[in-house]
Amino acid sequence: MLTVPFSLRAGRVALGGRTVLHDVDFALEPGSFTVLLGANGSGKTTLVRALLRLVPLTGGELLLFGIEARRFREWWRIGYVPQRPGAASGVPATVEEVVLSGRVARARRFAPYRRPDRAAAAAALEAVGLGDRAADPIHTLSGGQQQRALIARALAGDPDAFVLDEPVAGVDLEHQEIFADALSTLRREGRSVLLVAHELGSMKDLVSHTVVLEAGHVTYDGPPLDEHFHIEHVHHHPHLHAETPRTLPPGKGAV
Amino acid sequence: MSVFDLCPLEACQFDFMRRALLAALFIGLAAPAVGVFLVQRRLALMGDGIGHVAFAGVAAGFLAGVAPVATAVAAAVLGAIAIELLRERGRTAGDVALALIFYGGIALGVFLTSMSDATSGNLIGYLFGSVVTVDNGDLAVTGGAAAAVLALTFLLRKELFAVCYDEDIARTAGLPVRLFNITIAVAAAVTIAVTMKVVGILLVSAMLVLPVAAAQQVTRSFRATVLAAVALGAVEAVAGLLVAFYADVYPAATIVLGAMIVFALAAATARLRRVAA
Repeated sequence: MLTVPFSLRAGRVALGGRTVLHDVDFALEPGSFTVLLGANGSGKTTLVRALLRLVPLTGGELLLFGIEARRFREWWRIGYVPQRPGAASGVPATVEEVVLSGRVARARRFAPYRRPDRAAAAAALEAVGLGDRAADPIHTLSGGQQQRALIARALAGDPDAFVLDEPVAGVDLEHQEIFADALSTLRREGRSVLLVAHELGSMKDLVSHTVVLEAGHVTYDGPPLDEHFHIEHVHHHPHLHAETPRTLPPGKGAV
Repeated sequence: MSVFDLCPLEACQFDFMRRALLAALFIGLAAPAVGVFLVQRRLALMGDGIGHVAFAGVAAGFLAGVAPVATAVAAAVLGAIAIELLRERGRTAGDVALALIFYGGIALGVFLTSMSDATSGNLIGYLFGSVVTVDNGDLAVTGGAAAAVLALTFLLRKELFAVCYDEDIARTAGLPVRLFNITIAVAAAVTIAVTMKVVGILLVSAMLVLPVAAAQQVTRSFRATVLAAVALGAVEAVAGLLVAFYADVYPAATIVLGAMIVFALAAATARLRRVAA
C-alpha cells in the first residue's frame, strides 16, 4: 500500500460560477492520518468531494492510488463517510442493510451479499458499538448513532483509504472514544485516513499530518498543530502558530 | 388455464375475467417492485409524469394506426429517460421537470387525438382503464413486462438499494449511478405503459406507490417492505377486480380505493403500535 491514495495538483473547483478551490495541492500520504481543518465555507467538503470525484474539477490533476482519476476502477479501496447523517430515505431500512451497502463495491453484480459480506458488516457494527442494533430500522437511531452506522458502512468495505467528513459531529464523548479506538486500529493496520474536522477531541493523538484550508486556499500543510488548536481560535489567537511552517494570515481565521 | 377451473367463483367462468384477473395479478406484482425504488428516492410522483407521457404515446398509436400499447411503451421510456436526465441536472429542478413532462404529455396527447379518428370511448379506456377489454396479446405483453421488471429488480436489488439510499456512496463505490437511475426509470415506464390498460393513466401511479406506502407503515427493513408491497399489490389488484365484478362498479377505481383502505389500516396499525410501545 505504498501508492498515494489521493494526489491533487493545482486542483480548482467552481460551483455555480464561484471558484471554491483555488489551485489546491493536496496529497494523502499512504498510512498517514491527515486531518483537514478549516472554518465553515473554507472549502473542506468541496475538496473532499473533488477527491472522491463527486464534484468535477475545473482544473488540475487528480490521481487515485497513482491512477488518473478518470481511469480509476478500484473503488473498493476507498471508504467514505459523508457529513450529513444519512440520506433521508422514504422506505425503512435496517442498520444492517445500510451497513451491508458498504460492501457493494466488493460484492459481485447480480449476486446477493455472501457470508463474508455479512461478517464484515457485523464486525464493523461491533467496532462502532452498534452490534446490538443491527436489526433496528436506521431511522429509529439517534443522530449520533446514525452517524456511527455510516462509519460502520465505510468500515465494512475494508478499504485502504478512509475519507471521513466531520464524522463525530453530533456524536457524544463516550462514543467519540469508541470511534477514536476504531480509527487507531485502522492506523495500526497501515490504512490511510483523511479526516475533515472542526475539532479533534479524542482523535488528536492519532493525527500525523495537518492541512488547513482557508477560503479555498491551503494555508498550512505540515505536522500536527498544537493540541489546543481549534480552528475557531485562530481569529482570537493569531500568534498561536507562529512557529509552524506556513503561518495563517492573522485575523483571516474562522468566523 | 386450469387454475381457473378450480376457482369456485362465477367471475372465473368468463374468459374476459380470466384475462383481466391475470393482468391484474401481473401488474399487482410488478408495480410495487419498481415503485419501492421511486418511493425510496422520494420520486413517488414520477409515475404520474411517465403516465402522462404514455398518454401522448397512446394518442400517437391511434393516429399512426399501430397498437397503442407499443407507442405508449416507447413514449413512456423516452419520457422517463428525459425526466431522469432533467432531474440529474439540477437538484431542485426535479419537480419542475416533472411538471413540464405532465403538461407536455397531456397536451400532446389531446392534440394528437384530435387529429386521429379515435373515439372518446377509446380514450376513456386509457384514462380510466378498461381491464375487461384485455386481450391475449395485451396479456402476453403485460406478463412479459412484469416478469422482466421483477427479474431486474430482484437481480439488481443490492445495487439499486445502494443507489437509491445514498447516491454519493454509490458513486464512490464505483457504481454507474446514472445507468441504474435510468434503469429504474425505464422499468417504471414499462410497468406504467402496461398497467395503463388495467387502471388507466390517471390512476396508474397509485399501483406503484400505494402498496409501498402501506407496507412501509408496518415494516422495519427494506427487504420486508419490498416483499410486503409486492404481496399487497397482487392481493389489492385481484381483490379490487373481483369486488368490481360483483358490485358492478368501475374496476380501476375499486382497486385504487381498496389500496387506499389498506393504506389507512396499515397507518392506523403503525400508530397503535407506537402508542403501545
